[in-house]
Amino acid sequence: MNRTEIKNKLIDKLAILFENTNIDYDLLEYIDLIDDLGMDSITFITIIVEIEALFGIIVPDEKLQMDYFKNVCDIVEIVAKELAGNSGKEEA
Amino acid sequence: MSKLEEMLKYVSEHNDFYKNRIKEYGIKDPTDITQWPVLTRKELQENRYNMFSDGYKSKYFNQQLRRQSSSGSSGVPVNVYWDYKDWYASNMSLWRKRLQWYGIHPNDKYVMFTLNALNIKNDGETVYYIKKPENILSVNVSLIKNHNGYDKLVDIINDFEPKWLYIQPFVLNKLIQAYKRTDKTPPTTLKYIESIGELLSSDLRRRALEFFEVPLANMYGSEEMSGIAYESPNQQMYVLNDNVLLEIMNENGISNCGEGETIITNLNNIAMPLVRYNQGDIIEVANINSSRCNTQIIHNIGGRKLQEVIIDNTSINAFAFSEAISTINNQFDDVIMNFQFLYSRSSGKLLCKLVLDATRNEWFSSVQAALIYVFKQKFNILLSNDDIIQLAYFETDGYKQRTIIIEE
Repeated sequence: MNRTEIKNKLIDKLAILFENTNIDYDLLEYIDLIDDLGMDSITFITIIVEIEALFGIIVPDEKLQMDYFKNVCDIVEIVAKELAGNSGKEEA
Repeated sequence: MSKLEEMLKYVSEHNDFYKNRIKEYGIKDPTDITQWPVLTRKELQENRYNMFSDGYKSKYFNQQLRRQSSSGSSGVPVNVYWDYKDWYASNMSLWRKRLQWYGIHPNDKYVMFTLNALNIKNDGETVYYIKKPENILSVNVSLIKNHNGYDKLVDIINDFEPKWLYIQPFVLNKLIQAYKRTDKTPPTTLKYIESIGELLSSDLRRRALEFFEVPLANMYGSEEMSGIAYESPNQQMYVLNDNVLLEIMNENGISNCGEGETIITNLNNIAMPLVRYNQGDIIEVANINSSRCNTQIIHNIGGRKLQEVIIDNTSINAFAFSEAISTINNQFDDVIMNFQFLYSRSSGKLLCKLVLDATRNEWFSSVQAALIYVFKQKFNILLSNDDIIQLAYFETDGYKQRTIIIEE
């Protein structure tokens, strides 16, 4: 899965998670989850659980900080890295 | 290196409290858990400001750590501090399983039942609850004193339309009774019930399954550790061994199965590590050995049974007393080091014994007044000064640290 595919799947999921916030779908890519949406601990854990289930990854403990999940770009990087790691493991 | 060995190596290099323990107990290999002594609740309480790992004391002073308070059903209230990332990691262990086994997401709506004081009015006819955040309905059951209160709660729960309940067995029992009494049906949104504290009895499990017709699971956790064990759909209660190492201490020593006191090492909390902490529960653990793994299954949890007392026609859960202590400790900077409530069923008399921090003994009259106030506000019970007794610290040896209900 390339970064664009990851991004699109992620935005679809975030659109569901944040449907009550009236944020325009097209803007999700650019918002700051902490500053713009006031991400709290429940929302943060929700995002982690959802992306783990969506992409079949486990987010490493050292990445479990809100600062690593501020926006779509950050999350795509984490997902892409974990997917690459998984495929590397599978190949090995 | 395993997660446990990494944690033990870390504390041996970056935590003065544990470095001192290595010297004091002559530990040769700090990465070998069997060489570590048990950490008692009293030791944790007395060293609560000395147990931070390197760099975390300043985070504590800057209020950058998460505080988890155990109100002390065992009689010794403690606070444990977490770096936020570790706290998330600790909680993820349970959340991953909730989703995998029961399809429960963190943002699903649920009802939890607390014995903590909420921001409430003191009106005997009102059911006290808050919705904060939006997906959680918190109900203060210590303020529901009669059938009428539970009957109203049925409507509030149904209006909220939760997906699941996070509930103590004694509340679950009262809720089933209230639904039947009011001839109402549970919300169709309800898909799962999680029981916390003592394990569900087989009778209550059967009645809850028959009435709610949704899966039930026991969850064993604590404020100090987060999730410790969780029941799978095949009704086996698995230890969450990516969050904790669970050991059992009894007359034969410490091992990973059998019946005895729960000794737990948290595998995530770096800020204030807990190595071989005596949780204070009595549990029974069996091992299921296979060629690939060694799995621990919990069969029974003791020492958490919640009993009710009736004072001045008011029904109170015994655990609520420790919440009153917690309220006072929040006001008075953890001045209460040890407490015991004694209740005589025959006379309906409640007695509270307190041990204060030795350096702040002179605060007793203020603590006494505050406790009388809290009991009046929370339970509408009038305690007198004579009902609250201060014990000197040296008297606490052998002190039975639990709310005791005396049958006479």
